[in-house]
Amino acid sequence: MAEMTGAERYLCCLHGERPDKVPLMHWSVDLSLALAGVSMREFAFDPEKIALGHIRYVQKYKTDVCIVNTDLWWALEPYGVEVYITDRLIYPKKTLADRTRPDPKIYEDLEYRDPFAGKRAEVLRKAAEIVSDEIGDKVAFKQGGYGPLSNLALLMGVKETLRDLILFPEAVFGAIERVMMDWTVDYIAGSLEPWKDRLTNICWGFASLDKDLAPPEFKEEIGRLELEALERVRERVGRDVPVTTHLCGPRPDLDFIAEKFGDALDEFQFWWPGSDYPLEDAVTKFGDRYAIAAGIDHTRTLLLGSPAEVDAMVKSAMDIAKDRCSFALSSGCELGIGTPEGNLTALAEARDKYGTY
Amino acid sequence: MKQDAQQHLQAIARGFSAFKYFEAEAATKRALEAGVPREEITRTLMALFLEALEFYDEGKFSIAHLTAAASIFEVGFELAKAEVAPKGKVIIGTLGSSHYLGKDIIRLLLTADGFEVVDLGEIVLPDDVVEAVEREKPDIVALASMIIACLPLQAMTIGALQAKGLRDSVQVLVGGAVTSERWATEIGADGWAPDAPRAVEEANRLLRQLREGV
Repeated sequence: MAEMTGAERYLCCLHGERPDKVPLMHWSVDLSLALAGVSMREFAFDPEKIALGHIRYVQKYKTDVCIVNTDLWWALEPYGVEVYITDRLIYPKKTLADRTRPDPKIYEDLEYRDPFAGKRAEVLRKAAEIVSDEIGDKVAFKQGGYGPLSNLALLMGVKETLRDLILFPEAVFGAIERVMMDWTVDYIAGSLEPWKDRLTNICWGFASLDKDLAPPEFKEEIGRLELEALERVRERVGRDVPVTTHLCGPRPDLDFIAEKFGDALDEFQFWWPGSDYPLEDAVTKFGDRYAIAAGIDHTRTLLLGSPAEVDAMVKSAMDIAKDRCSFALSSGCELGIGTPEGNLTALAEARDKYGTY
Repeated sequence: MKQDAQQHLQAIARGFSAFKYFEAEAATKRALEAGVPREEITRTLMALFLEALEFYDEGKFSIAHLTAAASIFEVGFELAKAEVAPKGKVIIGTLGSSHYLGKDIIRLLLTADGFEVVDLGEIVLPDDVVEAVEREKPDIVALASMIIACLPLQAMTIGALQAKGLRDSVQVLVGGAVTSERWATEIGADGWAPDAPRAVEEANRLLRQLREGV
């Protein structure tokens, strides 16, 4: 079989067809930053540098899928969410809810703000356009975002929103229905715009449906809101592109998500090894319906193990999944800071060694 | 009066168990105004919070429930706590990452147990700990690592304390989702705890060790 491009490879996988090789998918803002050769203080405000780092990442580590980002808070700038930007990291300084004293009024008073009205949103949009123009014919892009509850949590503070969901659920769900549903649709649809006709999928992050995080009594309602938001995004995109996922939690509720979302999804990307959901079970239960993307433990083997251990990890995943479903070799989430380069080289080599059809 | 006190404590428990933050807070204030002894109120709150932790361990509660329970416990405890001399001083922080729930629960339980706790917050680095030890002169340094990438920071912090000649003045307690007893031993920590209640037990043991040499 002729060598496919990364985009062809990943699309084959999403469509249930057999590619030349199992697609390889991982990403890291930190390593992209290093490859751009600047500090985060510069990177976060320079679309050329963001694009350069991400393009070099794909080329150097031979990934088939590219995810362009700097952090999770840029679209919340219009709400006054502030971040610390250090040499290497961006993390939240000020979110809206009070850390110690809950107050339902914050949710009741919440108003819509355009996610693309901030300076950094414009930077990210421009960076995505550059990456799309430069390497869009070679790799697939996995862009999208989280659902409305997760976005509210990023805005208010994750712990604060979890707390308030229990203390005054009406106020929290009210804010989602009234504001964050529209915000999420605008945010995700807007994030997909730079890819234009190169848009290959809509990625839906399911942070709120991890078994540890989601209160069981609200799971149905959270699922309903997520599905409504996804359907509205699909409507806005106006094309029938596959829907991929991102489930980075330690206890992903794959069964509930499959039951609730059914054919609205085309892929499960989750953390294994690492989470409590065995790859074997996912392949057995969902392999005939969805592409499965897993196999790289970004927190242990890839970060702390040796190249030989990386090789063994990849072999183990391929043995379970390669010939039983449409399989992509993927990390559970963004790679950890300090992931050794030798392990990333070993990862690409192991994909070729065990993942060629 | 005894029956009246019981009714006040039950009102606090009802608010707590139903996750009614403002009702639990108001019930605590009413109990104090009615002269219910502070230690009875804090004992009730502590029992309710420990029950919430058990429910979480048993899978009946999610992290969201636990977070809500912690906030109700905190507001009630702050109102009812007695002004007594702390039994010892602990500085606590989450190394490297922004995870705070586990660390915050330990902070609350240690405070309720009579420790003075200085919370360094999250994304704490070894130098921050050294600086805080020099400034606060604590008995115990409690270091949480919640993700594997930040685990080496525990060893680095102990090394930094050693390098500054501060290691022998404090007991170092480590914990967090990715730690183990073996890891704690390997890096030369004085204690390790797998969960919040045992962190309190371990802190008490370390304090005795420091004061009495046992």
